[in-house]
Amino acid sequence: MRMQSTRSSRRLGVAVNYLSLVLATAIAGWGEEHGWDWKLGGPFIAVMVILAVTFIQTQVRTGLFTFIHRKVERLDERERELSYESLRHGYGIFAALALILLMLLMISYDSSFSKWFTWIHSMGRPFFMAMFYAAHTLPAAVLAWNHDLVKEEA
Amino acid sequence: MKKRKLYNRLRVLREERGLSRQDLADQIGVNVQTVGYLERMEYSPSLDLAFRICDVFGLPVEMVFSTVPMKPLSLELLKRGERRESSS
Repeated sequence: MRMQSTRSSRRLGVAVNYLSLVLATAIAGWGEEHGWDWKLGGPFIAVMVILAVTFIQTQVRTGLFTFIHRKVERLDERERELSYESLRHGYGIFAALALILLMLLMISYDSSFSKWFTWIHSMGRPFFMAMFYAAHTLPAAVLAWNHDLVKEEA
Repeated sequence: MKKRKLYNRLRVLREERGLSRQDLADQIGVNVQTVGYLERMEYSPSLDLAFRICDVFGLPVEMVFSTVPMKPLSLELLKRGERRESSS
């Protein structure tokens, strides 16, 4: 695992990455509901490029994505501890996110606030893709957010 | 339960034997970064790893690890020598 960037730049990268994910999901959801055109396609492509660039910077170049997806047998005891912590926190955040979205979905059908949450009904495929991306990247994002810079002189 | 900090002489012993961090990491079967964490005392090893480290240096575990800050090895050896002389 390589951690060459500073913690603040990694945190900025993680924040921009997930903000662009939310934005991309919202644009795609709107597109699915109201139809796609160039006014929507242009910003969507721009947001997807930002998403890809920040993903590469915070997760691929740092080696965190590979680290999190490495087989347990290939990790030493410290790395296993680190991997366990990041998975625990990552999937904790994912579970909370999923529960909040389920609650919003429930409110959108039953409550008098339903008109505020009708947007959630248009979150079909884009919503699934966003959750899929979050499930795969949150543990590494937790490490990128929390982990100290490691400097190793050979 | 909060873990106790473990002190060690890993860096001194490794440098004394002319080993690089990578050499030591290969011998004890961990990532090179883990050796760095151990030397900075930011990670306390398991009993198994501690014994593997001691095997590499051929020293008893109390010469490498301690729960209290460790004195320089030369001072400790001097004290042991003095104790042996006074008992004989």
